[in-house]
Amino acid sequence: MNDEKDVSSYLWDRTPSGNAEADSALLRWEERLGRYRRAPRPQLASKPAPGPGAAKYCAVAACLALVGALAWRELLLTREANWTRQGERMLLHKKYWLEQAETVEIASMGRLRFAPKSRFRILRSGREEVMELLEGKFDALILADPYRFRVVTAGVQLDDLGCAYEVSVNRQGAGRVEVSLGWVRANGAGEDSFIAQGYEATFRPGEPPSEPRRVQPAGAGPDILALLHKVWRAPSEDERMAAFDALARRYPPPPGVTRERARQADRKLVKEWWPELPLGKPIAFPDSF
Amino acid sequence: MDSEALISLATQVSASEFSALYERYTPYVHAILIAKLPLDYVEDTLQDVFADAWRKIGQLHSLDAFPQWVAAIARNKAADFYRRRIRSVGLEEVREASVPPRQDPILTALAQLPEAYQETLALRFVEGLTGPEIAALTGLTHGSVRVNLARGVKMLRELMGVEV
Repeated sequence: MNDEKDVSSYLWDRTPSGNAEADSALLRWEERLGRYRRAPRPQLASKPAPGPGAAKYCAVAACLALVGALAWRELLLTREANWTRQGERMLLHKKYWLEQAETVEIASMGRLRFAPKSRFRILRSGREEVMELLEGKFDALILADPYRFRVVTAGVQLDDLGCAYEVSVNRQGAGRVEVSLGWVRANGAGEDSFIAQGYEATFRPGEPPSEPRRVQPAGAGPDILALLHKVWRAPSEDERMAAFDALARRYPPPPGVTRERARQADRKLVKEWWPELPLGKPIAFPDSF
Repeated sequence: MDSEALISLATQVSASEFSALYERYTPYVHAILIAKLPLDYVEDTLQDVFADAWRKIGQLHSLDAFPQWVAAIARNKAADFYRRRIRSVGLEEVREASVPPRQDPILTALAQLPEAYQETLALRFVEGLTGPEIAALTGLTHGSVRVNLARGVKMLRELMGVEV
């Protein structure tokens, strides 16, 4: 049997095959199974995107009136307190709190999954997405350029550098971020922490985020990431010098990265030393580095 | 494992490049999963597939292999789902538990087809792709897609009886 001959043109590329009955059966399958096509999950946006230009409908004024009436009816039927349905999407209105367990898609960037009783809202949406987590917990999978997605809490600002991570915050604004993939930058009280996969950091209002520490204890050998943080942000000069020396013994710094700069807590040396360290591809540093 | 190994998994693909792969191949992965899993598990499993892919993409020598590779991850995830279920139920319940509860008989019928047919049919009817688009997405030849469609439709008709 030559199976290829059995493929009707409609089955292949929707060209009518001349067999109306057979095409009709396939069309029914399309309609029936097409209902299971993946609809985007609820999507965060500051407001619904504008619809097609009105000029497109000018020639059919009567239809325009009908479409408008139907659209208004649809809006009335589907608008909830914090959400507006737009086609297959639910758009969360800016500044409204999301307070129930929910999985939320963020434009084409990724998704967030909230634990029950989390309070969360959009602060800005557009070129960058800025969200506020007041209380609760979520895990995120974000596939976007660095610094396009930011979460702020009472104690810290978390910038996505292309990753998956989990954040939890209590009512007092104290919390924890754990990274399972890629990197997150935590910034608070004028200090930074770069958290790699397998690491966590804690934070609370008014204090810098903690240095990153391993979630699971690793084997022998110094923790390069922790040492590097100490080089620029340890409060005592002795501690910075000790960290510099420990790191330099294993990974000689490039020209220009000196003890004197560590003594002065010069954070810019981090960016210069990074390529010599076993930390993977350099991350996207903020302008302050 | 020391700290160097822990954080040496930096991928050669940027997040924005991976995001483009995610956009392009989501229908493929979705088609694979919807043909195999109960509906309630499809979305979360899809996200897990891409999280795994992102984590491991440094293992790929060429992005040309991405569609076959991500499809294999999806099939493994679906198989894991049933393996976990088998472990979590008594042996007497295995046969019943291994059949996903589905509201729609056509999805049940789809799940009974051989893998190659169920995936191609899911791409055609669930995701709404044409034969040439399926070939371009999956890397299959036009001939293979034609065969999968023809045989899959024939088997699906038999399974569905006179309904379609």
